[in-house]
Amino acid sequence: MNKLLIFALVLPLGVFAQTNIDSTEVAPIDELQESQLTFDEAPIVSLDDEDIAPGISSQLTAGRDPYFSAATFDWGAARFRIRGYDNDNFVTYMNGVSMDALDNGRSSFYLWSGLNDVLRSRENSLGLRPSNYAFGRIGGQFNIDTRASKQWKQFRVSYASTNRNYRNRLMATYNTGLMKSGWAVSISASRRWAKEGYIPGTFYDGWSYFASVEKVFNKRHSLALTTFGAPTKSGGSSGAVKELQDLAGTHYYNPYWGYQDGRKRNSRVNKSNQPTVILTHEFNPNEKVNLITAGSYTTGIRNQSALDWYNVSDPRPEYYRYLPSYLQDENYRDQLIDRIKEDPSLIQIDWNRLYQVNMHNIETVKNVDGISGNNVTGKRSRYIIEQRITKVQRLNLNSTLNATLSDQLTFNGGISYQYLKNRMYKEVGDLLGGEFYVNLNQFAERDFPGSDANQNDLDHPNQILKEGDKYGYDYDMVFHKAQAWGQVQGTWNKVDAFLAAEVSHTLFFRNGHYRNGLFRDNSLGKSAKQNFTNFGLKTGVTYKINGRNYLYANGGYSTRAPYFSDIFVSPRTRNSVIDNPKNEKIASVETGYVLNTPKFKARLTGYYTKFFDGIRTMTFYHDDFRNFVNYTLTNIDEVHVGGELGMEAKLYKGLSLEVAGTLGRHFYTSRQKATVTVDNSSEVLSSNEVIYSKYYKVSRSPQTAATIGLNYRSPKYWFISANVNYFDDIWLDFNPIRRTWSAVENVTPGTPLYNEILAQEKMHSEFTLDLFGGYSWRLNNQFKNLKKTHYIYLNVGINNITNNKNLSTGGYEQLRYDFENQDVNKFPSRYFYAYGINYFINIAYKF
Amino acid sequence: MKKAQLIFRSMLIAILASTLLTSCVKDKFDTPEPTPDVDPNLAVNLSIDELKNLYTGSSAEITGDYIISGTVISDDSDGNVYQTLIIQDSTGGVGFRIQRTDLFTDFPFGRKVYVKLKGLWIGAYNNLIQVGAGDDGQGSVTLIPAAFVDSFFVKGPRNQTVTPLEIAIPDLSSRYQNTLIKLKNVQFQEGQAGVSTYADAVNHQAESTVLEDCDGNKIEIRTSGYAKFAGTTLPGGKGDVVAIYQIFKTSNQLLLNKSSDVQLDGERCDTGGNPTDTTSNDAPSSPDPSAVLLFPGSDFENWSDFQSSINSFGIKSYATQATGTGHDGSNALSLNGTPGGNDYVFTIAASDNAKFPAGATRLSFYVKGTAAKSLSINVYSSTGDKTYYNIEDLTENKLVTSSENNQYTGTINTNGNWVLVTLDLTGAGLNSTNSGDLFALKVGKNAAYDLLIDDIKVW
Repeated sequence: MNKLLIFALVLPLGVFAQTNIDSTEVAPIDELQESQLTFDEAPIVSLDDEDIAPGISSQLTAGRDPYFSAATFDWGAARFRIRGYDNDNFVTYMNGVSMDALDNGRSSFYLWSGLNDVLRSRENSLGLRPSNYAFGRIGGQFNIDTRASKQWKQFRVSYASTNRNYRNRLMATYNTGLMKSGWAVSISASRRWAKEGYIPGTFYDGWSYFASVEKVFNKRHSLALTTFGAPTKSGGSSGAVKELQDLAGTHYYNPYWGYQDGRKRNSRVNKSNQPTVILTHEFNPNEKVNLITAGSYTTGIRNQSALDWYNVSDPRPEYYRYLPSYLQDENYRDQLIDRIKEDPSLIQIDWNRLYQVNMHNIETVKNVDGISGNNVTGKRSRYIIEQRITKVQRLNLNSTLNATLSDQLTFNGGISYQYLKNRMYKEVGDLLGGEFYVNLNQFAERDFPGSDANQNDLDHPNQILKEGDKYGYDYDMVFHKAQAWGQVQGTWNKVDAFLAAEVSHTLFFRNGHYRNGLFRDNSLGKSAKQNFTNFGLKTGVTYKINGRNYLYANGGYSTRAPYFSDIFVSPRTRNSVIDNPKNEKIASVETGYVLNTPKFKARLTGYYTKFFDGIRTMTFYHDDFRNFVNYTLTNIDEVHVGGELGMEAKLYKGLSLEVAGTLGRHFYTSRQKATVTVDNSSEVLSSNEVIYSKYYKVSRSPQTAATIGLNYRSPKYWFISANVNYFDDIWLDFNPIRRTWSAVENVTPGTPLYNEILAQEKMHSEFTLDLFGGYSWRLNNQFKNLKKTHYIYLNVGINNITNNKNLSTGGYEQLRYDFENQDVNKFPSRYFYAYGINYFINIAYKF
Repeated sequence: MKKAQLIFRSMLIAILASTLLTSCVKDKFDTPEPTPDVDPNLAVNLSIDELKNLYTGSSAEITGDYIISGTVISDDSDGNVYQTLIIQDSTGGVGFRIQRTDLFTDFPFGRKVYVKLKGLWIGAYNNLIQVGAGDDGQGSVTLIPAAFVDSFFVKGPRNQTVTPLEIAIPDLSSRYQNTLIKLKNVQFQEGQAGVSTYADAVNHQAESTVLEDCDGNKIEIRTSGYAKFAGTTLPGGKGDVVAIYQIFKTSNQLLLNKSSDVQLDGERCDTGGNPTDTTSNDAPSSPDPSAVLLFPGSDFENWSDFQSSINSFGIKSYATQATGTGHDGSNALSLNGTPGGNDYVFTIAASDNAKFPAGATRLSFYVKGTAAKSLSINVYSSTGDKTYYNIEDLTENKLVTSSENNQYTGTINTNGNWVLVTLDLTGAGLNSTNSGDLFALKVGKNAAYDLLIDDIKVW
């Protein structure tokens, strides 16, 4: 009972699940967050990240801070990101090793998705605060300890029903706890599935498994071996232009599916299966020293399917030329609108047509494999499903030392080495009724007719492809990173302070396995090695006014290496890198006040962060240059400034009030520079073109968010809570080519057209309402004979109970611009929306 | 206690079993069968020849409940035929303008097709009859939207036999337009055969090439710069060509589906041309003795005569009279400067004072000097139609045929010599009325020109 009361004190509002909506292009593998009303379990966040996609919010927190609880649980549905930071500004460690991926700096949550039961032991340091296991990043660092000895002794099984990405979840876990023999064993497994998720045409099919064995030899040594994996398959979804959402009559229109065999078939199937193993050694030579040394290895495959086609019309129903707005003739336009409204499958993929085209397309491919006269005749597929595959090999080694130097001072430090090799290639996934596909580049064929530039692989010209054959591109991204850090923390009567530093070296290169027809001398073999040395410094001080009032300030400066995909201009085809790649620099300060009384807790924080010299590379079709281009933006500077408030007040007996809010301003502070090269020839079309990006808003997250909630906790083991959320300052990502001189050339400044071209779209502010309730039933009260304590927990969460379907989670302007007529509506923006009313019901049995 | 545990255990097993059993997420899909080729046997009530007779000189909607049928003779898979579906029956052929670039997937060569014509429009593009979705405001028709193809076109069986009509070049006439023909014993003309390509694949510009028979009868093959075979070199021999016959204004023209329809590997015949002069391209080195000045002052001897021939837009400042440095020591027109735009240097107004012969087939002028881009010329007919001539690279005497629009690509360097540029006026026509324009000289922007031009003549 006492324990339950303590828990009530620390339990944040909105302990229930929230789901994040799909990312821009790919469905996330899973983003369930959930928590349980039990005193032995902290609220759980299990977030998954799709590192292919920008725009997925993900953040871990202890849930004991009202602000961070709101930021992760209540605002997750709106894709809120703490301080507007991208995910690479946070880092997660597990059992002593960093779980970030060197190719994009993001933590790979998808590796352990669905294993909520064993992720409950965690330690969070938010913002610039120090931690004992890493130097950390500006957003924060998180440590999850899944070693068997850290798992509560229990058997637990649960079933959840929901209507989000998946509909059902079954989970079972057995932990021995640390046994007298010094051994501990933990096993857990789950399955999550849906024939169709919330978004039409999506499905979900995920398994997860986990096993950890630990031996505590003596007071000084312990060794733990942990392995886990989450083989998962899911159907993708995408944002869409307003016209299509209007035609479909829903903000959740998903262009990725079409009917086949009477069922919805999704063209974008995401699969991931990357088992991980971690070996952790903990060494305590004496009471003052702790040394954790760990190594992890991850291997496996991620892949995403998509339609590919060869010199035929675009099979994607959202292609702008298929939309009514493209038709000049009003009669036809109106007729088409009527037809689509009558038969909405007209704006989905027409699988049958793709099959018919392939099955009837008899062609002869000449000189197969470059052998003269080696001709192959058959059904040549014009449309196929391609698999974009990333084959991962990842090794992380890390050693962390914690030493107590004196009563006041402690030292933390560590060294690490990380290695990552991603082999990137495409495979023919489904020939869709045809007999073969050919390994040719249709865009090169158009630009260089009659030459062998169209050969993806010059060493196997005109290669005939069957299902499962590699094609298109094939290269490795290879990374090495070594890092060392150290930190001194001091604790005195009135003051706590710390000083930390880190240094790292990153090396990466491309290794091509194809001699590409476009770049015969610059595609096969290794690129030049890219070397970057980086450092970071941070320091902070907390002034303890008394046991209830604290003031603190932290500051840091660090540099980081650019990412592979931003400095390799077109890694699918060549080894070229941009000129003078630079490290990005980040300066950040935060200051705050904390009040902590038995009845009232509050934290007020202000932050100011500046990013310098960011680099970003994109590839897209450029309407002015009439070509696929590689578009590199440099000199990207951003400021993120804002305030955060979280408070919790106990009003009366079990009734408490929680308030959380943030007001942020996240914007670009520089004129970015664009260098444009032709994807097919590497010809530089434009160098250092000025992008008038200054003061445009960063689009990743609502910049204003607030929650007010009431929570009642009954001594009879049930609770209910409700909270209202508010979101504002949701900005669309802007298209840089629309903010150039050439985009507004010949347009008079100040005219409505001029303003329309340059304006950045802001989405509506919206409110949502969530309700949660739970009950825990101690079976021993009814069944007096039970030896152990048996519990049944029932939790229900209903999010967005008013079914508000207008909360935009963002979107982006397409990277196309109508230079000829300056019509910004020719290539309109794409939008994403948070789910309407959705629920999560979980029942768990534990003993 | 035992009982309670038993209850819970059996509950658990039941939950596990039932959920896992129903948890199968099926991701295999049955494969569609190929749709069989069936002939819908629609009642055809109009022949293609009758359809073409519905065209009476301006585009008009087809209001009758007409159904035609025919066999597809176009194939856009190589990108030369573009947004066009051409079908023929025993009475003739007709082309449909459709907003799709992969018609071969649904309407492959040899497929029988029915067309329900009601609601479509009929028009003509430079005398080539076309059927489309509406009036394009320029005498022809707009594209049928892709989503509406199935509203008008009904697919029949594939792989119908199509036998191209064997015909000789002089026998071609408008009634054969948009039908598949076979020319036997033809070859590309000297200067192009084995040298030129079908079109400009690098700049994606359409080009014309010339086929001739052994009697010297000629016909142009017009090829898109986007065709897969645009950059293929023309075969040098003699043989058979299968192509879609079309007309452009009053000229005959051929449209190829595929370059493999050009089978020229026999020995060439002598057409009586000048086979030794392979580079001159039949370009005259001087005007015909019968040639006359195109307009008063077109020899630039009398600058005020020239100025009075110019229309109200006047002349650019970088164009002046050069005295004593013209052809044969006369005066000439000097272009010396770097135009800021794709300028009209001057346009000559049509005038009764012009005394050129009716039915003139050649227009020529001398050029000397250098330029970083080339010249482009408009010739206007009595009905106001413009014909474009792009001089492109110029180093020696050159014969230029018409193009689809003004282009300034190419450079000029005559190495200090006078060279004669001759325009082939076939199909163009000269404005012999007293209103409108006659001739315009254009230059490309941001390129340096230092040229002398003299003696604009016709014959």
